[in-house]
Amino acid sequence: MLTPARVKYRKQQKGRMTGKAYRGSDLAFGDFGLQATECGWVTARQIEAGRIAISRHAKRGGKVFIRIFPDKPITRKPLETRMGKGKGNVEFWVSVVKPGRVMYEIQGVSGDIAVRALELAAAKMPVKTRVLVRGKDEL
Amino acid sequence: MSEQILKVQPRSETGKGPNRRLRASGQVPAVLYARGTASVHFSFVEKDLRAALKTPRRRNTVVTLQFPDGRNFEVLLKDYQVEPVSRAVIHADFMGVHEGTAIRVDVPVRLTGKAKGVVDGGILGQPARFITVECNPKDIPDEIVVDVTPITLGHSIHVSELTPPAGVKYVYSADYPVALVSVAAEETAAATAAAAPAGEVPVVEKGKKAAEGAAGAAAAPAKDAKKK
Repeated sequence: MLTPARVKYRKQQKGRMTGKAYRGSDLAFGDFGLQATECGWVTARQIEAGRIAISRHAKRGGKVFIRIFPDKPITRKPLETRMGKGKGNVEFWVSVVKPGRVMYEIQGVSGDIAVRALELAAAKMPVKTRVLVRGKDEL
Repeated sequence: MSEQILKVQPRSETGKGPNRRLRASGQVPAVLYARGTASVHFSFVEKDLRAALKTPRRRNTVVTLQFPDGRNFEVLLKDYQVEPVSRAVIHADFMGVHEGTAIRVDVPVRLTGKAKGVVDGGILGQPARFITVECNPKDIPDEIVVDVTPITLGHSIHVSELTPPAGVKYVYSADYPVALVSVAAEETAAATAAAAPAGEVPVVEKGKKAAEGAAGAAAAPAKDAKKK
């Protein structure tokens, strides 16, 4: 799973997700991509599940690009713990995804395989997505 | 005059508010600039632009902008912005062109053939989707076709190895690969690395806080244990 190698601060505040992803919203590396159309937290586990789904369907052919990174630590308090006594422990890492963000790209496989692979990855995602195809909708 | 015509409306107001009102009314704000003339602000309907660019040259098509007052400009689409989710065009830049004056444009690259390296199990990559060319507006190629058949595993074709069409010059300061065949990677590090416990990512230590950070990290498990 993806996690940061080191961080400046161990814990973060929750934050708010507003606006759209104006950066990272176009295909940059591959011919097909999976774009989020709503905002959400995508966990490192979900990113890895999506990657495995894509590479398995593509039978290890092609090249997969992961365009998001889980750099936000999420804390949880242990069960049956009273409130207070400080912030909980870091339990997992998430990537903050805004509408428009391209999360995966794939290159080197046929269109049918790429689209199906990205659909399988979309099923692992906690946000609504759509598949982007290079050249389609572009001027 | 170009056969592709785009009817446009001049606009006097610029800025965020007026442009948002313009978009709400179905128009796209745009600007035209050309060498030696002042820039012109106008708006158009996205559907009309898409229709005007429906040629083999696509976004490198020379288009004639027609203003209601009878002014015409020969232009190329220089740049455009899209709304990330709806993919609607929200702004466009047009550059004035003159026949006989060389211009620089990005021409799409299309790879053909099956590379030898792909037959041997490699993956064909295309680092350069466009090549910048310098030519007269009438000589702009529709696309640059690159035959990748001779590329073997671990090798590439660079822009310097390509022969430009007549009247066209490739522009580049450093030679760069257009197509390459890379060795198919095994499972990535992300997959093979054992999942580290979420809380054990080291904190960057700085100056005086270094000692505190180290002590804090050591004390953390004890503190956590107390919470339970």
